[in-house]
Amino acid sequence: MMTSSVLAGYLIVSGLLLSIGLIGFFVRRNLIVMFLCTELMFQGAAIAFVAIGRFLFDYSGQVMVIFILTVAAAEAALALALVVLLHRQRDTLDADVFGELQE
Amino acid sequence: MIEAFSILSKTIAMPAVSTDQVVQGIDLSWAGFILWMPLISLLLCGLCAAFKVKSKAPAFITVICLGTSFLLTLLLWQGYDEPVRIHLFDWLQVNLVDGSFVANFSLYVDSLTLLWMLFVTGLGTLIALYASEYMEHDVGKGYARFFAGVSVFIFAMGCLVMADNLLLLYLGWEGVGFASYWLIGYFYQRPSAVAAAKKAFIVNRIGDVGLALAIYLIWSKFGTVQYDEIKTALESYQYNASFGDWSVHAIPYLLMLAAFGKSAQLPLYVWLPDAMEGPTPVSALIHAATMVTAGVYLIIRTYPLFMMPDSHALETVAWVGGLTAFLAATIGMAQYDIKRIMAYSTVSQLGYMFLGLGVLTSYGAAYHVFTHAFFKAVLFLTCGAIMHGFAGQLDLRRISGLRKMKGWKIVSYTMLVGCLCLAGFPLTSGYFSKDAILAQAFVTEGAGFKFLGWLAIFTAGLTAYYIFRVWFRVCCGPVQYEAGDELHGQDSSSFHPHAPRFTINIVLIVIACGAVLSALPYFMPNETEGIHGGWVAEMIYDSPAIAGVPGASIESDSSSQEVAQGEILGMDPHTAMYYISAIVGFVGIGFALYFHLFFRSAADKLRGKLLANRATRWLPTAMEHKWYVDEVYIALIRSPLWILGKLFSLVDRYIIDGALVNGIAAIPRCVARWFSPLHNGAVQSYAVSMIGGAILIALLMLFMPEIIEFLQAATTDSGEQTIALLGGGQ
Amino acid sequence: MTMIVIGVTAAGWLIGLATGSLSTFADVSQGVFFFIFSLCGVASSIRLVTHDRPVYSALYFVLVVLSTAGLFLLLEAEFMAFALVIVYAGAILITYMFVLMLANQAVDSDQPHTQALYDRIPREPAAAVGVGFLLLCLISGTVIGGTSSLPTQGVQQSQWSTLEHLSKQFESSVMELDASFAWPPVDSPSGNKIRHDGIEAFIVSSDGTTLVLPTSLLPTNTQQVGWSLVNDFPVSLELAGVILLMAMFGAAILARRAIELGEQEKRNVLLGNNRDANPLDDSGDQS
Repeated sequence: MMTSSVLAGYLIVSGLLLSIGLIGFFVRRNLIVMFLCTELMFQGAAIAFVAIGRFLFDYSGQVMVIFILTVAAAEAALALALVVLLHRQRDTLDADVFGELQE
Repeated sequence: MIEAFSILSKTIAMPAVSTDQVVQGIDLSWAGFILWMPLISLLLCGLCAAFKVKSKAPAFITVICLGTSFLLTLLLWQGYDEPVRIHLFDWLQVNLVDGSFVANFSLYVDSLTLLWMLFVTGLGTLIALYASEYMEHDVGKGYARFFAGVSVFIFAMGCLVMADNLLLLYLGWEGVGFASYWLIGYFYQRPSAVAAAKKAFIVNRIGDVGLALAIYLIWSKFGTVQYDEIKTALESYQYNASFGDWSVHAIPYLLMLAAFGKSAQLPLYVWLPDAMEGPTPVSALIHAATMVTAGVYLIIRTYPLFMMPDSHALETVAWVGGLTAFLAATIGMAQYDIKRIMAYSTVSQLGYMFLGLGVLTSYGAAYHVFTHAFFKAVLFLTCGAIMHGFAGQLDLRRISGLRKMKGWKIVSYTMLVGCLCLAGFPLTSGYFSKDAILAQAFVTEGAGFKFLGWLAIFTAGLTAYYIFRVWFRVCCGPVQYEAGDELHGQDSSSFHPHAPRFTINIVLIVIACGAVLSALPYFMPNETEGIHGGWVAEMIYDSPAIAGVPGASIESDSSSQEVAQGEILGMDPHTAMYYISAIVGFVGIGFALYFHLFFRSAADKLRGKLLANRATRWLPTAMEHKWYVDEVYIALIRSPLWILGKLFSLVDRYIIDGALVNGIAAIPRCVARWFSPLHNGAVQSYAVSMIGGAILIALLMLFMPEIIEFLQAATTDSGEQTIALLGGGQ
Repeated sequence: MTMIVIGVTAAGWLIGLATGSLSTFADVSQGVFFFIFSLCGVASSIRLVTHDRPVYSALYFVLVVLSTAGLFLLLEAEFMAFALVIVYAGAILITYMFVLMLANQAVDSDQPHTQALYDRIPREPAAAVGVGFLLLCLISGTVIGGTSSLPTQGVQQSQWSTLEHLSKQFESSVMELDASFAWPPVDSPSGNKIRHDGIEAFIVSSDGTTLVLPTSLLPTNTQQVGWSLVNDFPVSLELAGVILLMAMFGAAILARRAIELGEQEKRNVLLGNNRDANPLDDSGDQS
């Protein structure tokens, strides 16, 4: 039996993790750490899903977290493969070096 | 010859007809060909130009077409009975709520028309023939263009003269202006020719404004632009109480403005001397005989409008004419270019014609037009022959003794004929026509007409002087010559003048004969009773300008000017004028003889003395510089407009182009430059902007109800509510 | 340094909030564990974001994952907790470590100046913190205002619905509880066998006897998740498998070195003539 304020607490935690992950993504220049921060955001989302799922006794929340896990794993694999390629190109992991999109 | 004329005059029945009885032309639609032949010639010459024909074909086409027009005009004259209107085709017919504007392409043939068309087509044909030899240097280059221009001119002049309504006349008016521009600017590679063409067109335009406004006023006041209907309307007006409506009184002044523009009177005469840049046949045809008389024709056609009670229009015409005659004669005395002298002489003689119109002798003016056409044409054509033969030499100081040169006799003696007529030597045509005008000046009552008469007599003396100056200098004396500027390739020491050949000579002889014979109509007996003045008077009698025919009685019981009988020095004016003008002419010729034949150096010495003396120095310089009229115009009119133009070009370049167009174009560039640092290629900064924006929108949506409440509270101007909201909000 | 300050401030606020709501937890121990796990998680995440060595960041991430797992346990989602640990900490983080090592990101501690510049100096921290703050405002605003409006009635019913579907287990557990119960139970007006009156669950038999079901009869979390997954989201399950397959292929292809073959060698390979030239030689230049 969960009260809504307890739920609020869980959701605040999830939000915190999300925000800190967001800040980290903006701040860090190392490509791998940037991806790590996105993984952090995934954690926040997972907590939110499970908390609300528990509140509503609906297990779709947890199923959603399974899928998040799956997709996160797949994405991590591909992202790291790309990072490896980029590293081979410029021998650095600095995100600012790959600036070909600019005007 | 005289018998032929009298037979012809007998065949012309001359009833006293008032012009509201106009008979519709039964079977005279062939008269339209008088106009269509020059058009056909234009088309064919145009084709010659397109196919770059290298023969003299365009000239012959033009001569044949114009000759046909002349023959048709003769036929028309033959069968002339009374004024007819020949309808060619419908042109403009606009029906409005309270009136209509009808202007058809119809010909109104009365004797005035025939008088004009005879010498227009006749001289046109002869001059086209002359030009076929004169312009032979340009065969294959501009030859066809020249004759196309002549054809256009004759067509337009025909429209002008034979129109039955003022709009068709306006068409012809503009057409002759356009043809004049075409032909003056014939040597288009010469900047001076181009400038002269522009000047002619622009100054004519000033007059055209007057004509357009006059046509509009006539339409708005009388409801029609057709001559016969105007006459009817005007007659009924004349019996009303005097109309104080200023716009009706403005009509003659506007018409006058148009006439002054086209016929080169003060102050719009400045284009005519510059128009001498065109080839000489052009000067002879257009600027001596035909186009410049269009102004005179206009005024004769609309004469009843000038004779409204309490109107000073005719006096204005007389004064302008008289002053122009005097001014132009003084300028002509001091020029050295013989064509220019002829040009100023034309201006001066046109002044005489307007003077004649103003002192109420339209007969005199018309007769002077007729005779002037012949003798001025012959004078111009002889100048042209000299120019043609001496490679463009026109300075009278550099050619002398022409009549003693082989092959130049015909030129010299035809020039003499022209000079005698112009100077008013007794028993020449010019003598009689000028006499008609001068005598009337003393007879008619008007403001200062007597002074004008004496001024005109003095001017006649000046005319005699300057024209014989030309003849004595160029044709008499020791044989000397220099080549002119158009000498191509030959050196001047081995230059031989090339005398005119058959075509030019025959044309000169024919026109000179015409000049001599144009005195004859004066002696023809008049069939209509009471009038005298010969054949020309008969021709004018049938026209609206009947009031100017000597001896004609006008059926009107208003106090309009009558043809009075005055006297000069106790004698009948005509007799007196015979003697006075003869004396004045001899005096003028005598001076010319002294200064320019016997003691040629005396002229230069006199000029030197005048220049040396401070008090009289202005006289020869001003006269040589044409009284600085051109300079005044440049200062008063051209320069301000040029400055205005420059100013506007600056406005265009900096304000419209710079500030508006380029400025507005620069705005996207500036805006782009502000925003381009956003594209720095760093994924994270893109992420910041993207996510930051999304979050802001989400926040906005989240707090939207509170924001709406806040705004509503703020706009309802209630402090308590605002405070309550702020305190009870988040 | 500013990172740490801001992080601590945020955490402090959270503590203040939490302490105020400590009383709402049903079980005080639950509340204590909740704070421990969440504090640990938030603190680790802050350290992850601010540490200049990437390997340490990865290790702190492991800590975050463990805290999340703890929170999941508190939420009675034990399957999810351990799945998370296994997949994330056991697989994904290991991959990250491999790549970090591959990119020579491990730095000797006695030569700190060789640390890459881009790890030490953050990029536009002000803008980032501003956006993060806004996000936090958004989330807290939604949460604090909105959680009270979530439905609380009737949700108790749904946790028993899975048991109904597991008919064998249902029957055996009911029989174990009370062998005299007349199987099957009567449906309630809303179609469920198990009824709930807001406090406890019970079933009614055809002859009117009511049997209260204790919460120990509830299926385990694993059963619940499994049933939900297979019953409600079969397609997504298959698709998840496909995604993983694609990821595997993709990663293998992407990370391969490209080999530049000359024309002759290409022809050889195509025609199957691999006599002399070894097409897999690393003879080409790096792409």
